[in-house]
Order: sequence, then C-alpha cells, then structure tokens
Amino acid sequence: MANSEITSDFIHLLRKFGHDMRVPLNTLISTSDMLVQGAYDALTPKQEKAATRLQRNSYRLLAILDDFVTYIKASEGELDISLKSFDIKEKLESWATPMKPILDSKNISLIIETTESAPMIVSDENLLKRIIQALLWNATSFTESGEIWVSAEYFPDSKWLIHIKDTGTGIPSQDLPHLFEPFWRGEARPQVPTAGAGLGLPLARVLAQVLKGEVKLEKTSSSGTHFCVELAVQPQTNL
Amino acid sequence: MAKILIVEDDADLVETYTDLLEINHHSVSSVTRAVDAFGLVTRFKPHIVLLDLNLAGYSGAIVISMIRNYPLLKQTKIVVITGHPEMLRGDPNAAHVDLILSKPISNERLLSVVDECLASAS
Repeated sequence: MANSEITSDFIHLLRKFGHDMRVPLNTLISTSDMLVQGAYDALTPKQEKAATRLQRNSYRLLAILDDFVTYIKASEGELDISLKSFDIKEKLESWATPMKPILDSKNISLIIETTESAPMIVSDENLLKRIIQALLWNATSFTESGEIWVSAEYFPDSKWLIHIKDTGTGIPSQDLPHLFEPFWRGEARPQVPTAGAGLGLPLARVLAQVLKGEVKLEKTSSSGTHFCVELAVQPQTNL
Repeated sequence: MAKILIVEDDADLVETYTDLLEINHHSVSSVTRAVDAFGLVTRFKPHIVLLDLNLAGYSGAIVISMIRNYPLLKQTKIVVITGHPEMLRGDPNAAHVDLILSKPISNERLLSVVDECLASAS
C-alpha cells in the first residue's frame, strides 16, 4: 500500500516536472528554430553556428526529458500500449533516417533486411521505434567504419527477433555488468552529441519488457556488437 | 589575456566555452579526452585549465596530478567544472585544485573566475 502511494505521488510529481520543463523548453526550441531559419534576419556564419548549437541542445534536452519520463513511467507500469499492424521493413528504414547523416559522414553502410514473406508485425509502433532507435544510436555512436546490419526475423506463431549488429570496437568487459543501468557512463563514449543521455539501452530494455519482450546483448568483441530484440507474436489486428 | 585549456568531452560545450572566452580576448585550446591533455598541456602551458571530471577513459582527476607533478606548470590554475562535484570528495587530488564549480555555470561567473585566476597568478 505504502509503495503504491509513493509510486502514485512520484508519477504525479514527474508529470508536473515534465510539464513544467516543457514550457521553457518550448520557448527555447521555437526561438532557436526561428533563429536558425533566419526569422530574425540573416545570421553571420558564426551566429548561425551558435544558433544551430543552441537548437541542437534544446532538442537534446527535450530528448533527455522524454527518455527520463518514459523510463520512469515504463518502470512503474504507467505506460499505455497501442497495438497495430505495420510493415516492419518499411518502419526500420524510416526509423534509421535520423542516423543517416552521421552514418554517411563515417562511410558506414546500413543494411536492413527482413524474413521473406513475413507478415505485418503487431506491436506498439511508437515504443518499438524508440527501442530500435536507441539501439541504432548506440551502434552509430560506437562504430567508426564498416557496417550496421538490421534484420527482422519472423518465427511463425512464435516470435520476432530484430537484430542490430555493428562493426564497432565492442563493449569493454568492465562495462558489461552496467550496460542496462540508467545513466551509466562507460569507458567508451560517443564523441558527437546524440539524442538522449545515458538512458538509451536501459530505456530500450524496459520498453521491450512493456511489450512482453526483451533486449539482449548477444555478442560483443573487438570486431563488433550484436543486440537482439525479442518480441512475442501478437494476434493480428484490424487497426 | 589568458591562455586557457579546456578539457571537456561534450563537443558543444567546448564550442560554447571557446566562443565566450575568445570573444573576451583569451587564447583557448581544447581536448575532449584526459589522455590528450597530457601532450597539449605541456606544449600550450596554459595559465588556466578548465577541467571536467567525468571523461571517457581516464578521469579528469588524472590531469590534476599530471599538472601538479610537472614543475613548469606550477603556476597553472586548475578550475574543475563538473556536473558531479562529489566525485572529488575524499580524492587527494581535490587539495590541488584551485576551484570546483558545478555545471551549469553562467558566462559572467566563468569570466570572473578567469579574471580572479589571472589576478591571483600575477
């Protein structure tokens, strides 16, 4: 009883916190967007660089806030699930779009494959997107060359396995026990600012659990890392 | 004018500090990893090092002992700017730091800290 009261109060507090943070963030995002778009007159190259930095970090702050609130709500079973059918290959391609400029700049090939004649997947599109994007950002951040390979495997009436493999340098063994700890910062760090903070992998895992699935580290070595998202097959829906 | 070395792993924050300090006529160099600070600090011989602690690989604390063990850098001021000031609690390196500041730090505060460091060094 006491725990549920604390949880309820805590969630309420978080919702208020999230709302109160979003108001000034909205101003930051809108103003920095307008600055970058030249709405307050043309900027010098130096001003444009500074405004872009402001804009990027406003969105970064929003991503951190969103990840944090989502992580707490998911951990407390407060997240709503909305199942629908969709084409997983099409979505994987769309979800990888934000990483493409960084992948192109590093000359990393992105390969997306799915089991031939796989049916539409039934899942929560938004939650699955966040899981896959967290794993893709992780792969993108820690791979300097080679390729990132994403594949969705369908096992009839049983499960979906979505693999994310990279040719990065792997995860140091001392970091492995902490991999899914919120805000854990390991030996290896991305040198470019990415969306979110230290919640990528923990958030992916907790969201997969909300979908009655799991995120597993299959393998990591000096030649790459392989994560796998396992999801039980849900009954087809007309939605 | 001060020579300032920034040791900070957030590229955007490095750019922000650099813009602020250069606009105010200071000379700035920066590195994002503690291990890269070793070579640069001895060549650049900064008046002030602005040091983050929670860095990839080696902690920023190792930069403190490296500077303090290098006689030519005896006058260099070390200002820790961190989101985790508790990281230096109980660390013997804390005694060799001139100032510990918590992030975020305002532009006015950063510039006044630089001025204070320069004044106390002269």
